Amino acid sequence: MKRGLHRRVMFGFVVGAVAVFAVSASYAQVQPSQAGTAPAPNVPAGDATRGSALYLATGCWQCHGFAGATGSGAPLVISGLSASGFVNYLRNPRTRAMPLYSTKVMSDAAAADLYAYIKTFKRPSDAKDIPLLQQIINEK
Amino acid sequence: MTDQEDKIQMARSKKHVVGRRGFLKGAAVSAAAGAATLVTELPGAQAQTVARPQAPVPSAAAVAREAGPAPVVDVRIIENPASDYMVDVLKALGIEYIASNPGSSFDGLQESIINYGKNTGPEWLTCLHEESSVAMAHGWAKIEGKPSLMPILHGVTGIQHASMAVYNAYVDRVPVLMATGFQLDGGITAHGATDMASIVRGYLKWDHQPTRLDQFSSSMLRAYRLAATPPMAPTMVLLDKHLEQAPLGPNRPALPKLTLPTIPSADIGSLRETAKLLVAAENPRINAGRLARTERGVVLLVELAELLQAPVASVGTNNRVSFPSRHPLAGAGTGQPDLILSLEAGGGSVPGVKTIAITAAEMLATSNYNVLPNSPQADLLIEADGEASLPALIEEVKRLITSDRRRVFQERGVKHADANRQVREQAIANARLGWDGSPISLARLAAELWPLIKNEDWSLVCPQDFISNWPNRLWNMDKLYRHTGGRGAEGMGYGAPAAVGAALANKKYGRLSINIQQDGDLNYAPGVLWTAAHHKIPLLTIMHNNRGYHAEVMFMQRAANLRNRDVDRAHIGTRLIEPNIDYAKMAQGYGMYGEGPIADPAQLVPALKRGLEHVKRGEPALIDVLTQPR
Repeated sequence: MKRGLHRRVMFGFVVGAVAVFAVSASYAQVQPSQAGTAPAPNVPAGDATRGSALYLATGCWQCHGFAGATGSGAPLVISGLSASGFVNYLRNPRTRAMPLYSTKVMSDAAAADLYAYIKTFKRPSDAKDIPLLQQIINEK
Repeated sequence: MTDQEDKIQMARSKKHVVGRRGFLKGAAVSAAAGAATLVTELPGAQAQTVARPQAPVPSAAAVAREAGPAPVVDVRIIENPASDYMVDVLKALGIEYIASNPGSSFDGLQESIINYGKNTGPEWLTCLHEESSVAMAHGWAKIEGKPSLMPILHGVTGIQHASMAVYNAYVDRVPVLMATGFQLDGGITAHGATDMASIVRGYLKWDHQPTRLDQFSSSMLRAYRLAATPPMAPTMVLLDKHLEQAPLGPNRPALPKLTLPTIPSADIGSLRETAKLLVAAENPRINAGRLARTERGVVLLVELAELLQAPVASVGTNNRVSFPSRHPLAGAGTGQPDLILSLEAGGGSVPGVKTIAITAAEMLATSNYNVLPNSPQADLLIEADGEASLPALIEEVKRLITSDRRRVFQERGVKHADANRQVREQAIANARLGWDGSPISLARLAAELWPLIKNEDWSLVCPQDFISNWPNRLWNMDKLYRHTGGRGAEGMGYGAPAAVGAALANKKYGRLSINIQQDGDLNYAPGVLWTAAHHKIPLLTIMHNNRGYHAEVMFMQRAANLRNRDVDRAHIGTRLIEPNIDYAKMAQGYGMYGEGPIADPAQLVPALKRGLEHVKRGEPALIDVLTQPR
């Protein structure tokens, strides 16, 4: 997670999130209402900065954690989805837990921004590089 | 301390305060002229000394002119109230604590407990909410296994305040014995009603309203027995204020003798059939729910599992410990089971798989049908207590195992152990995800806490579902008291008071109690922090502070997504922000050590150590940790 986002999260990220509601709202306004099951288009290159704001505003953090690594959702930090696979998943989630994000509530451009942001997540360390976890694994 | 408080303290310590009896004497003198009933003469009233000049005393005629006719006043001193006998009944039943928010309907009993009973065995715990009183009893009983911390409620209001906690205990099948005072002719008539227990009778095992003192004894005894006998559930005895206030007559009723009945175990025929099926099965699995009531239950289940080399799955994340989490047979094992033995567990049936269920839940006819495991789907349903049925079942299994079967069992045991090892290692390795993140991951929180407590005799006294079950994954849950399980009915407001009740029970055994506390839950009735501070109950509370009712945040998000409209407003009505709640200050305000919020993982361990130092000195402490949502 970027340092700037860290600060927002630690010291009241919602204040920042409120500011980006306008951003997501503008995305919604320019998109026609469509069913969420349309095949994913070619995904344009996204903007990670806009994506970081969307990650908070549109609720991704709720199930995937603030760094895409924790929570009840799939860990995004180790996801191998391509950009088009990611957008397809938003439109056609395979689990009931994952909400469907149609183009009405998240445009392809916004989804691309999100994807760009998710790709900035630092891959996690291996468990054997964390001595405490290794110690717990070795305990009887 | 204010000047006034200083004076009160000084007076209390020097015993110069006007005593209750002296006060009553004074009051009686002024009322004596009109008293219709005077049980005890009040000699010496004129001996009251007055150090300063007095205003002229008005004549009786002057008083009558000002105040009208003197009322008929019933002024009595009763030096042997029936409530003293009630205290002896509580002592005979082994009640160790009373948890109560004070109320006028039981002030006589309270006075007897603190004066006649010397406020010990039982000792009075000052509670700031009736829901907290009952939840404390819930947490206590999960450690003690018996209802020896008794809430006393006040009338209709007390029962209604307590009702959610009663329901939690009922669904959790925990023994809670409650008393409720009432006074139908009291000053606030709305606090009394006929058949008050009907408010919560849907989730009581039994209630009774004694009308005589000897009946009080037998009612309390029966309420205790029924609460503490499987299927365990809350019971309530209603106390008429007039009964406790009355003078104890010359014929003092006998005190109750507490003998708990034998616990219903399965009939031998059913157990023989069960053993036969278990030994013949190729891949049996045991599902354990609220099986263990005592440490012996854990030992017996280990014996059965090892005999059969059958895996033991704990059904649900909020169960108490019935099977050691690091045992090689812990978990679902490997392969599709061909027989499931369900022990006080729900979960329904698996198509094509025979299920045998042993549970006492079905014996509670009022059980909420929607609550597992009250309706196990089983091919053979045995209505009996699971733990009590294990010794005979083990003997039957032993009798049927041949050397050939034992060899087969050992081979499958190796496979299950290997599956267990893989699952365990992966579960621990997953803690790496978000390890360095801020807010702090719940996995990191549990992992960092573990080395600080593992060499102590520790007990986790909070639910684990909203902390993603990380302690179960990382810690060695090898005894029943290592984890007190969930809320029962998942009613919020349980966490903090149940933790305080369990910590009070653990205190007797010198155990270290840990509570990882949800922020939303704490805010239902945070006053229990004061109760912990006031009564010096050692408990380390670590806030899982995700600043919201996070499940509802996710539900709201999904609802908006499903309706295909604004997906950026799920925080409205679900998050606890603007302003953020300062839990360290809250703890300090209630008189305990408080620190935080801690958001940087590097600051976590030093803060936890500081909190533990306070707890090891016998105090509660709270460390506020800003956490990832789950």
